[in-house]
Amino acid sequence: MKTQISGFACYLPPNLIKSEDVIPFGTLPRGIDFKRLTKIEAHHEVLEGQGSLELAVEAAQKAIARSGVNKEEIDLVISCSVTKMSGDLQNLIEPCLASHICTALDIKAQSFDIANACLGMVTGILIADRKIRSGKIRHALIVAGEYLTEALYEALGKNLLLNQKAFSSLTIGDAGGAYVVSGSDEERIQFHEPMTLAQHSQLCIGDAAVGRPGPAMRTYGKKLQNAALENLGAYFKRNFKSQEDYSSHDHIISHQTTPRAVSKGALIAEKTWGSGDAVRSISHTGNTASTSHAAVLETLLEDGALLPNQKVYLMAFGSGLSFMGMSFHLPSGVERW
Amino acid sequence: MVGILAFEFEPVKRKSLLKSLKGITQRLCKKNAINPADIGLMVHTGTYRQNFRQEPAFAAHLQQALDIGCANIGPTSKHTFSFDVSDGACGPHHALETIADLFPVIGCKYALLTAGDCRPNKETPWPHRPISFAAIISEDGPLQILDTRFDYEQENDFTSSTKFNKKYHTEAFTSKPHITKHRVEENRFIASSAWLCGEQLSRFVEWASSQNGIVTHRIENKNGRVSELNWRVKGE
Repeated sequence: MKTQISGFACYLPPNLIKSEDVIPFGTLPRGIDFKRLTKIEAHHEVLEGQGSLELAVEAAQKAIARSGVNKEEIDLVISCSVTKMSGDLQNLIEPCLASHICTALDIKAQSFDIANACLGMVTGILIADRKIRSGKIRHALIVAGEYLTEALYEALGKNLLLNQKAFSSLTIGDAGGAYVVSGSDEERIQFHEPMTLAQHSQLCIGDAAVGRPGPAMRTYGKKLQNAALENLGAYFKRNFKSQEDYSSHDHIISHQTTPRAVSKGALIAEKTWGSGDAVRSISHTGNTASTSHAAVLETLLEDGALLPNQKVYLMAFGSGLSFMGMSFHLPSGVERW
Repeated sequence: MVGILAFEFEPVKRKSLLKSLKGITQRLCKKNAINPADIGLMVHTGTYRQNFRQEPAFAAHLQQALDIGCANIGPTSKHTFSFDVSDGACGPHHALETIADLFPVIGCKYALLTAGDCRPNKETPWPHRPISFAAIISEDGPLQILDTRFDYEQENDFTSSTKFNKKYHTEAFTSKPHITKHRVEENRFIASSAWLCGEQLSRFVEWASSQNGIVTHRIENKNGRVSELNWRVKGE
């Protein structure tokens, strides 16, 4: 048995917040303009009562409907959320978020959570791929709901001159993402080497805030970005067989930290394989953690840029510092979603 | 088919979980003449982390502490992949199954499974006595992982989550947890739902090491989720 992505979706709550409204000029020290620095135009924020679960469920419903898979045939649900935050800022400990997602969707399937930061969803797809290939399961739902923006407001409450590690928290946004992984007669998903460069594991820490409800994130943003960019070219060289292999992709979607960082990655792709034209970037979501690739796919879909059988490459990074690339063919019927 | 080749555990006591797991993993490798550089996959399972940390994966911190695969990417550099798996007390079964699933694709000689918890902060009530557990998984490990079964029919509404207290977040519950007692019924090891992940694994594996043939490890979670993992114990 081989595998395919039979459905995917991103749910962006309709509450669109412009960067200049929440991080106006003067917020950052030394006259730095947030929008100019990051190229993030806006981000989405949860509606009243929404949390990680609700974001995940919205995306999952859309992805399942698009896949045409019956819920009864989903045998595995993996939640890959970094955040498991309810609308009233309680972070779920037990049972796993995947269990709550199954209850909300009335799915009876094996369910558990994985934690691998922003690489979570691609890790989840890899696990699902192995289970389908070995015949253990029929279909899998890989899902995440990232309610992150409380960390943005936590950071805004700090003196950013004295707390520069809080700066990266300003780049985040809320979103839900989901993929349905199914069996296939043809090879439609391929993975590149997963690896964790753990010498950088202290560069981005997300945990519970101290002195206020909700989460907090502290990041050595520049160091983390440099570590990712320094290794990206070597990762591409190791994993793409040839320039043709690389350029066979219609869309190359990197983890979206900021549009500016993605454009730096595109330059490395160009230097390594001769072209960065297929690299896609969006500026209206901010960094939505594990759901960021789904956010780009959804935007491309809305723009009519996705066609059946086109080849997409997801380059995933996660704090840790983890790397994994995944190549897949878009399902037939994607143009009608 | 993969299995546990060797294991080590200890009560965490006053050490940090990271130090404890680093120590027992190093001991484990030394005792069994395992080169840590041959570990290509690291999976950690647990419920409680320092200040309810969400990222990065605990396994990434442990990988750094053990200095395994901590090099920049080069044409022939050797790397390790690390992440966490969780589902309360049932986490170890998902983690073991995940390792068994990924082992062939990672193409490594060994995988490392770790389990353990720590008190998140001083404001969180802490009735637990966590145990740190580490196991080397290999293709020819004598404690072979066979298959798993998951049953969520008896799931109740017990939920635990963080709630902001004075300075830190603490744990809040929706209802009383479903606590089951430990017992052994012939070849079935039925764990207590009160045990954290490290205790789940250490107590089962210690018992299973003295068995022969097919044995079952059954875990019932505090909210009634059940997982069963069947093993083949290859005797001497």
